[in-house]
Amino acid sequence: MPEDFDTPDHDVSTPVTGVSSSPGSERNTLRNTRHGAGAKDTPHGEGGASLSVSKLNRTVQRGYLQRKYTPYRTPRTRSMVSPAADRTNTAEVAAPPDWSSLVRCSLSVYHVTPLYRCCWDRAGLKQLSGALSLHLAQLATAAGDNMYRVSITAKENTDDRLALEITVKRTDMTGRAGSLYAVLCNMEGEVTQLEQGAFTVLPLLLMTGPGTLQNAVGSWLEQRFDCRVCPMTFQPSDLLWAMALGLIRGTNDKVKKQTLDLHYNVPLKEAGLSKISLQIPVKHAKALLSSVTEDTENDLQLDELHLFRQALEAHMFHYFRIHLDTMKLCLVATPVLFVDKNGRLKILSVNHAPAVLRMMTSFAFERSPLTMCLKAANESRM
Amino acid sequence: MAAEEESEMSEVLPREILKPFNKMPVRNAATVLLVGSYGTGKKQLAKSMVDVCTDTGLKLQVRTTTSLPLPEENTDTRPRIDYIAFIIDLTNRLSFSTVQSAVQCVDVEYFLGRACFVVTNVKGTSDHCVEMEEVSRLADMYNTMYICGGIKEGDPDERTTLANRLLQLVEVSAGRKNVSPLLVDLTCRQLSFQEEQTEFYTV
Repeated sequence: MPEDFDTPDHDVSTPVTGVSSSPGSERNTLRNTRHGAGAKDTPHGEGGASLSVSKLNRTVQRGYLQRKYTPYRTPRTRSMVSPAADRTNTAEVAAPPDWSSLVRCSLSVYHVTPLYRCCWDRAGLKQLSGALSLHLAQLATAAGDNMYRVSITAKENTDDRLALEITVKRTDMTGRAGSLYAVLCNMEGEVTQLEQGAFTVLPLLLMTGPGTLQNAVGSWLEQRFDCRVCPMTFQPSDLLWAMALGLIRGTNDKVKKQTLDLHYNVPLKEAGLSKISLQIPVKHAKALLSSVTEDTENDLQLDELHLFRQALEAHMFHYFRIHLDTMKLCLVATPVLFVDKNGRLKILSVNHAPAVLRMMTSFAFERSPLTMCLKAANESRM
Repeated sequence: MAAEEESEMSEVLPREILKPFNKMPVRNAATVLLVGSYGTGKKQLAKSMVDVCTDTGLKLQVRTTTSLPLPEENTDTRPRIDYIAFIIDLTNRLSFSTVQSAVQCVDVEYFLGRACFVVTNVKGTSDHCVEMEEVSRLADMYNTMYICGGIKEGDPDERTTLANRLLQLVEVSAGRKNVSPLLVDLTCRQLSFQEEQTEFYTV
């Protein structure tokens, strides 16, 4: 059945009556789609995105010709609001979990496929800690007598989501030197973790600590839960979303210099110049962003982000004759967060940690279509 | 709304729009125009197209430009442009934006089988600055096919393959094959006919 494979393309603004050569038709792609609910596209094309097409198209013919698309499309809006913990003030909501151990340290970001058979009760978690310490002891026999103390706990988040927290401490050192801290979480992602049968969906893994320990914990997770742990890399478009989040979500008064740093890699053939770095004062960048967006409180549209990027590029071309379009964005640093294209992340303020985690979760979901297939398979079974 | 958007753009004068049927065709000769920004590999592609063509009896002239509209001084001496290939490099955002502005200066008739988008650097998604989705959206908007190929990266064989594909299309639009380019264009794309789903449209 063709419906299984193609997503109806509701972003095409072609007038079906023919190709028009009017000058306005091409600009429309940048500005015309304003999505109401800002939902992401699911493989079955059920997204709530709506498109305004002229009435003429609808009445002219009953069906439409369209290209077959791949099942996954990148989302056109992202929510900039923090998860429900900040929004609701009711007393019944449990105290939000403490993310302060993730703040101000250099995190490596990984995305994880669904975990098989992860049990959440205390006995199960104790068993997991035992298994991990055994695994680390086996790996450490070659390197010497480093004993590690492992603890795995579950962190209760709001709206009943759980995050798995792994702490590996060396017994001979105190403090955080040489120890690893990892969090596996699913922050308001589309697929909730507990409804998938034997699988638990925790797509985001953040680890901080020595590289060998990170590899060891990653390989243990793969063996124990039959999943894949892959380091996440960020495309320039993802870095732009993170930059927008950092600008909108605001201020961190502890940081001394409030600038937005953007680093660009220069393509190889420009001899002698390998990197361009821009520093923009945050208030100017925020003013620019707010002038292109309509609704900074909730959702940011892809078109608005494109406008911001184009404004920046036009400015650089006008004053410096540098085509920023040909460069590739590799690093973004705002007062709130720091993201690198190789998957390094630093969250600099604990209030904004949930919002950053939520964006990272959505990136992780985009990189594993396996999770979407799991959800689809479960839905079809029920 | 449409009036506001039109006034924001620079006007394209009617005399600047490239038209295919303003001039007479020449027997056994064809002219291709490659449009792409700096660094996308137009000259290399042009050279390989001419190399492939030397023994087929077709006299091929390949012209390259980084932007449209074409300068007016050459309008009289320039031959009829039979085929236009817009080159988009996925690692270079500027190439995409120059193509977006260039397609406005081209007459409708070209999009009925006499033009295509050539997309390079498609493999290696970690370097992409332009999403493939945007390219396919542009191609859908103009109802024109796109070909993915390699000009600068990979083997020289890839460039020759791409040149061969383009040449087959050029020969059709130059009139050598007794088939209209519109017919070839219709058979080149995968389309599926679906019943209209009204919930996707708002008025």
